[in-house]
Amino acid sequence: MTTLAASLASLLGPAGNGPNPAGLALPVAAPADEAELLELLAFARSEQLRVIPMGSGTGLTRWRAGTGADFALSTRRLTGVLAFEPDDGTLAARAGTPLHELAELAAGSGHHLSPRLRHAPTASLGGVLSAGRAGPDRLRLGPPRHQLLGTRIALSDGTVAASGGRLVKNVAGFDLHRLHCGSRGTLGIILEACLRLHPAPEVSSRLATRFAGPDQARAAAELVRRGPLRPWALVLEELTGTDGSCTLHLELGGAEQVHAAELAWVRAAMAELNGATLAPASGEELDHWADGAGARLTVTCQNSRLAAVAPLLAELVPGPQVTQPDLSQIHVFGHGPPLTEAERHPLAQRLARQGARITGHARAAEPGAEWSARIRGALDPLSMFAETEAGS
Amino acid sequence: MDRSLLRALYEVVGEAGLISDFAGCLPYECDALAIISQRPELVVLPADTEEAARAMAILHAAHIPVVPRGAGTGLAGGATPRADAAVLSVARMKQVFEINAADRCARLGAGVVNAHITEACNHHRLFYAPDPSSQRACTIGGNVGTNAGGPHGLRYGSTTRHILGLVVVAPNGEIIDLSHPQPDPTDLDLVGLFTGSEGMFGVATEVTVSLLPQPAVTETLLAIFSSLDHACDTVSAIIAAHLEPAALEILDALTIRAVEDSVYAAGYPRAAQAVLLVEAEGSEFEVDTTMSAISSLLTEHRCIETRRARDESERTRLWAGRKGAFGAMGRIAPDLFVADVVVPRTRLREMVRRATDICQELGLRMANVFHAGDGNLHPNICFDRRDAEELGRVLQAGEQIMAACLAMGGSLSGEHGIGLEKQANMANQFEAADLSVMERVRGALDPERLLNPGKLLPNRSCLELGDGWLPPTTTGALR
Repeated sequence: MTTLAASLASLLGPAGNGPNPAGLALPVAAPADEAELLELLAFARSEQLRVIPMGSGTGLTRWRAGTGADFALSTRRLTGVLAFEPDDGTLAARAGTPLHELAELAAGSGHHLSPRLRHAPTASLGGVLSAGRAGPDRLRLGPPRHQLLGTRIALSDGTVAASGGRLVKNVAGFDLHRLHCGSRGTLGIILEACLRLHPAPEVSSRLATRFAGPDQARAAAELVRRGPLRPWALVLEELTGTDGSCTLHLELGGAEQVHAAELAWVRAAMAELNGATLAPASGEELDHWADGAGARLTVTCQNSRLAAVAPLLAELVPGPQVTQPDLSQIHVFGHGPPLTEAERHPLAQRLARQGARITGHARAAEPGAEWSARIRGALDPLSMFAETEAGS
Repeated sequence: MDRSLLRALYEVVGEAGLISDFAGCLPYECDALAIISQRPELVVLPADTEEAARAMAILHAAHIPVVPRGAGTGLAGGATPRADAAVLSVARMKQVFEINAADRCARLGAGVVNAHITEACNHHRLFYAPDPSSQRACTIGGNVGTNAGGPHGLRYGSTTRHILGLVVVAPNGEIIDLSHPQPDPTDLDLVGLFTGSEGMFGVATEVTVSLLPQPAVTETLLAIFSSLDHACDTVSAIIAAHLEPAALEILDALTIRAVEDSVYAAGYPRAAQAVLLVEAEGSEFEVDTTMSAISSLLTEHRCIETRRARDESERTRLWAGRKGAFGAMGRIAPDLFVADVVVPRTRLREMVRRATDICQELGLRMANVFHAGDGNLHPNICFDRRDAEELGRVLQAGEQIMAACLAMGGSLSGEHGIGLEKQANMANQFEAADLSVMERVRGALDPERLLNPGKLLPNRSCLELGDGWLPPTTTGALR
């Protein structure tokens, strides 16, 4: 055991160490409560250690450790529901609470918790928010930052501060909680968060239809996009075909009558479009695809640029693509590890000419980069929290 | 004001963009919270981002604080000037740069009036969702500053959900383009942080908003109640039943009568103790299902009558009453104190009753018109500011309403912001550490605290004085 690992063990006891997800070459400390977490931050300050904040570690398959970190601090043991108000549609919990537990709790009262990440059963509330991970339900409900009503955060200097609250509408104070969503823990560690809940569909269906190629599938998706539906998921994927075909996946849901009417509309619309037939599909992979977990590269662009960007991307990074049309996002899957920063740089330049951007690839002269740096300097003046590098 | 400074600004914005005479500056002495006022010595109205940047650089070099302003319709004193500050208004930035129907977004100058956005994209069958009651006058730049809401925020959310990008002029005049076309920020969500920051980080000069497809069907229904309690309980029941109407707005008896006596008369029954305006939007099947379920709940909760708008003109009339309610209250008294608090939607009845009791105890007339579906209450106190004693009771009632709301787990503001009005009360909603972190972020983006100083964050004197504190820069009745 290294000296550092021994120190962490003495602070937290045996339960506070590991497991070590994603094979991080770092000790992982998991404090049992907020007091231990603050003690750990004090230790890191006194020893001038750099820390990678993490939830349960599921996202670390997508984020490689930055340089210079000494240990990872996991919030996976900070669990528990703090407030569940089904009649007001809000749910607050500690950061380490598994998202699926919260989703099940919400479902018990007929609510839907977004983001839906069924493929990541160990993902924690805090980790998901820090990473800004979205599920396919983003199409209908918006990104995670729109679900977040408030947070409590621990900063590197030991300050614990809240912003927002547990109300569906609230403009008191700066929306600092939105800053933390997607910040990858670089500003502080989320201790608690409150999410807005949504009505769960009474009934839902997952459907799929295969097209000869992505152009035809995109045209079908556009038809859906312009129609009167409010889909829970709309994904085009080239993973399940071996002949260059592209499958459109659609998830619909709502009150029984609404659902029936939506199904009838979309079936008629697809039949009119080249006689396409929507067949029931398991859709079990939808969350995985939409999250982009395991993708080598994710690119975003405006919806109107998709038809130009997708073929260019296929030429630059061959591999099956998963597209979320209304979100203007393309994930490239396939064999091989996520592209390195050096590999992505020339691609980013080519794609930028088409108005597309590689997710997680920050350009040196990014507008607002200086503001982001200043905010990081203000909230983490010790630079304790190590920046992780985007893997995809 | 230093003549060389005026000359330098004149070089940038020209005659149309500079006001420094007494009479010209007078309309800028307050926003819609008229009980706090301070005439500025200088008002700068740049025509575009470039002019705003150059003007801000000049003011920054001279260490002159800047108070950003949209149309001045804010209700919390967020745009109230300071004696030593220049007002920078975005009202001349009315350019509609782009309506992008394919990507459902629009790029606008910050001075574009909220209602004009939907008018500009109407022919694409798109609309801009946030609809504050002042939408015929308020600007998108001001909406960004306060994270404005509106009746349809129930379905569509407040402004922050609809802002895709911003061009911001920093305190030192630097232009920061945050108008990336991608759906997510590359790094920190600076656009989300900026929205609702009440002009304390910079001045938004261009705004990219998302546009939504116009709903195929809109149905509006007026539900009439013999009790305000029953109306509140109905809303709580609709929310608890997981229904998703587009708007749920309550007007009480005093408001109804004021509206019906005014040019906004909407045909609300004068004898009713409350009306609930219900609107559902979406596909035909979605609207039918929602309205059918709501109708059942209305019956269960002792609604005595419902009136369904049969066509667009009836719908417009019903909404004219709601949107004109604040104006109509001018018939009750010359001044209106519009409170803006939020409570969990399970506690609507309780909070409305508490606010009513507070006003009764203080001998004040209070009219309720509010976004019930969001738990966002607007107890409106009718008074005459020339009566200093009455004004004192109004402010006392405001304090007590806010305290009661916080005690119920609520918030000081749902859509008007904190501004000057509720600055001191922030210490009642947030811990000192919370406020100190907000102050850190503000200091990071405006190290010299030149942008909208003295707003939102309580200063030391606020914290020490607590309830009853009044801004030191007020004039008129508050002196």
